[in-house]
Amino acid sequence: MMRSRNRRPGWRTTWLALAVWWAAAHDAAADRYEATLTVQPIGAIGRITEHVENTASGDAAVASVSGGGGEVGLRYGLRNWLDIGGEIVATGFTQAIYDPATVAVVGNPVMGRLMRTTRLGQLRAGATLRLGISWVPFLRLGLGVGGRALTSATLQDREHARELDVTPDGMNASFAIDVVASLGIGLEHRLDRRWTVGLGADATHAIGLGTPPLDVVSAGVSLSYTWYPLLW
Amino acid sequence: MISSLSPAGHGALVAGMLGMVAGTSPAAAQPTPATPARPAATIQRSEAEFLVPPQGGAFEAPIHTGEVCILSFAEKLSTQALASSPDFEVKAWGDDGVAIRVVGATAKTTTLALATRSGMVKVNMTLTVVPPDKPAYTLVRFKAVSAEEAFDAQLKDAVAKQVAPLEANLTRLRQNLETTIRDRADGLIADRLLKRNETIALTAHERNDDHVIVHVTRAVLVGDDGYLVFEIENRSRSAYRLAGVRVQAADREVNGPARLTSPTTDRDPSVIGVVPAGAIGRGIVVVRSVDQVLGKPLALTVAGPAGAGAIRLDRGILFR
Repeated sequence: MMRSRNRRPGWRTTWLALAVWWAAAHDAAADRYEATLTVQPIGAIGRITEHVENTASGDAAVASVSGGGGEVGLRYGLRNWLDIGGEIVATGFTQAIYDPATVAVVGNPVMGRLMRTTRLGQLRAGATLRLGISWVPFLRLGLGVGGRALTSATLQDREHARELDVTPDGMNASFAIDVVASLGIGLEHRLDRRWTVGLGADATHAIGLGTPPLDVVSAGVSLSYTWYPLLW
Repeated sequence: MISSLSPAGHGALVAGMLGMVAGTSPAAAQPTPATPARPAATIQRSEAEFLVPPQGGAFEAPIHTGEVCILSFAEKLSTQALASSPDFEVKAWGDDGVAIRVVGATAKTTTLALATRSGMVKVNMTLTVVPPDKPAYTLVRFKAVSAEEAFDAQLKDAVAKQVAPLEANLTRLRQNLETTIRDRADGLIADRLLKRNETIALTAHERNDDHVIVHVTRAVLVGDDGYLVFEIENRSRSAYRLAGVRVQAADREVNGPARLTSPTTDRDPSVIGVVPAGAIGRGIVVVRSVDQVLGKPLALTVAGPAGAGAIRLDRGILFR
């Protein structure tokens, strides 16, 4: 049976059309010359990979964990539709559990339940496309660096008639440097000339230098204070 | 003594009348006061009306050689009439008028005394021969009026005579006024620019809650005064009506007049200009005696009528 060529527009087309309409209806303008300081508590979900073998699948072990933290951002309006700026992000995650995982303990492969906690700190800089005046949808792209603090991993094995609670080889507490790329979207509403509230979500991909990659999706409610700085 | 017209003379008189009619303006005769007649404004104006007070009046009328001039009264004339020169032919024209024609080649002036039978109108008419290129009358009407009316007309005529040169002067001044003002303004600006001409870049910005933003971009020092150049960026959905621009040094107002380039106008005369929604208006405000505020921070406030939508910039505005 042949498929009809006159298919209904997909959701991507619909969203694109809505975005174009919104931009046209709102003059695609934001806040030239303004500086904005933003505070945003966030909730996050991290997808943390460890260099251990997932005994069940044979792949590298990946765990999804929830977390929370906050962002503090500072932006400056180059144009009415374009801001540049950066943000500092701190996020802590709950303990990631990889079960079953096979790791080396004193050189011997041991299978068990591996647990480890990760905390992140990131410094990102980028540009924000702002598409509104009072209600402001925005799209943000950023690049930066991050630091990943890893606690000592703990391997537990209570299923083989033994009580094992050790730190595997090479999995002591450590600190790793990441290169970070992020994409954010959101919607802000300007309450008055100084204060703005907003909702935003970010997707961040961190490439570790010597450590496995880390993906984080975060979202939160923001509060911003805006003023005109005297630059010179 | 008024004599009757002969047929030949009557024919000539009719021919003269036809000529007079051909050269007469269709407009009604202009009221002329009980004073010597003034030359008509144009040669086509060949009628006149003289107002005669009860005590009589003396008038003058220019006439052309070869043309007939009719003196017309509102009532029957007395048969007695006196003419001072034989170079003028005077004939009765009906029983309430006389026709006068120049017959002597050297005729210049004659006076003619006339009165109506009732005695209500008594005039002494001076007829002066003028060249063909000068205006002359071919019909003169006499109208009996009260002394008050005659005085009023005389007064109006006197005032008109007094005002005429003033009006002419005023008209000339009006024609030259724009040029004069422009020249003086240009000269004043040139003098000030010679004294001082400096521009200072400023980057002061502020906004109100309605998304109307003011950018102060420049300060200009010209002579003894300063100017603040600003933009009003209206990002709201309604027009911003600028009614006041105030510049303060501490609590003292130092601003002069303000102007705003505006594509639209407002009926309210207190509104300096209107910035439509989504548009940018460029404005300027004078800071008088700028030397007194050199180095002192200034505050600029723009506002709409009754202070609506006020925006105050109190940082970054400084004449250095």
